[in-house]
Amino acid sequence: MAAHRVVALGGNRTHLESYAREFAADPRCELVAVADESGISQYREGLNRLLAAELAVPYLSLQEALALPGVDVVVSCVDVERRSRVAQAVLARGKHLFLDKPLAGSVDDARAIADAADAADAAGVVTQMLTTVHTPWAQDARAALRSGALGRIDAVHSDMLMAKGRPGTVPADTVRREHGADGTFTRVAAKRELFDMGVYPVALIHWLTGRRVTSVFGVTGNYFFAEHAELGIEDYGALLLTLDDGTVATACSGRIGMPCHPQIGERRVTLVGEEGLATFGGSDPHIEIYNTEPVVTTAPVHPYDPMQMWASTMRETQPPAKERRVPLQREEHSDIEAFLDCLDAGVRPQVTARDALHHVEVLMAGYESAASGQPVRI
Amino acid sequence: MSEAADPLAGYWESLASTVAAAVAAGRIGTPKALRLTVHVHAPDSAAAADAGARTVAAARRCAAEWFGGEADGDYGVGDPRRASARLLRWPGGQSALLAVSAGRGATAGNLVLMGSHGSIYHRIALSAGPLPGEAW
Repeated sequence: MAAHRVVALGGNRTHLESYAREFAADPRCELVAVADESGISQYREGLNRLLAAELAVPYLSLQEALALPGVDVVVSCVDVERRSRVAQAVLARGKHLFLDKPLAGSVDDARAIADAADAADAAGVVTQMLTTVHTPWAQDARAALRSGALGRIDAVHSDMLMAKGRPGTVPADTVRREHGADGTFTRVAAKRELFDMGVYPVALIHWLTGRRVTSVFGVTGNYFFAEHAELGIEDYGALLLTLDDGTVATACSGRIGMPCHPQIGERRVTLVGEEGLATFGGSDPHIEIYNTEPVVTTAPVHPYDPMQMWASTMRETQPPAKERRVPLQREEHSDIEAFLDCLDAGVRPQVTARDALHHVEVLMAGYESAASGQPVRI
Repeated sequence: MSEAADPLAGYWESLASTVAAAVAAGRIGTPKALRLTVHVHAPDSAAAADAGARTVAAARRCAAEWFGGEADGDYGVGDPRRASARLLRWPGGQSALLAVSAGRGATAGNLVLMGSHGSIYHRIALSAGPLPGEAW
């Protein structure tokens, strides 16, 4: 019998497509239901039911699922706008909670989750949000930092540039005028990329340094995709950060297009210390292979997923694999494995809801700065 | 700044013209965003301040050449004698995120120039040999 009975909140065309399968595949877990709030859109409920059918588990209301006997773990990928309400309901029932990133679409919503998580923490309830901190390259960066080999750290720079979608479609005369975040982040065709990609470098910088950001200067852009421009949302965001000990940090994030990187995208962090610079990335170290295989340039565009965000739509369009740059094989401990390890060992995860609140504070300050053209203090 | 005073002057000029040629050939579409992270070797703090300032100036020249003009927005943080960063914006919406440091350790870093339909990547490293304009 599995140690944990898991309820998955959300459905297809969310990250639950992969998270739910990973929980289900872990011998420590039994996935017992897919669920969501009642009264959600037909579009969302239909996709939720589809995932439940694919996983051969019942689709239930949130309350029904939380009342199932023995359920102790919930993984939540509900719409950003509903994350706070749903997380609070889950934590009030004393369930451990694995959260999709970013935590929420406003600082108030994120704080409510963090407060509920802190209250539940007293009863041994654990929260964790998905980040890159468990990747081998992030672990290497932390080992280098802790070794002291770089001396005092003066700066940290991190990138997350996702190479998906067909670029080059943005109208040539597009100049983005940022208006800030209005709390709406869930759209079918595209996402706000400072929010969705920017959370990775912001979370990594916070985790590596253990320092809070005190000042944010941000810029957003519409550089690559017509879809983002038509929706009035950015496909690129850059942040200039000052940490509370004076350390300089920068975060570069966006979606640059499938043909624009030899792998899934540029994922890396650079530490600058008094003894020099060291960079750690998802592509390195690697081998490169040049041969007679055709070079990947593009893939069919799925009408409901032009940004190639979801495995379910990629199964339909079958984009060709990118196999020229191959990272050296290494054992990788996933975020979900790490979360389950924390449950089993009774220890606090590396990135909790309380940590993730700060990420939202930084991202929202980034939008505010990009709109005003002025630095924003947190 | 004279070229003799800047051991990397030849390097930046070579990089600028090589990238400009790729841009002019239409290989990445319209340049939109520059991300540069570079650490420049300097033997002491006085040299570090000079090297940091020179590198920021060189990076700005590169960006101006690739984006076809000067930035009209510029905000920076940090200490040029150790580590600093600047975020620049152009009237056409382009941006450059420049992270520059100087001090002990080898000259190293990386660059990404993102265009509307392609990207240029460059790793800055001395280990493979001298950069153009730099003696062993």
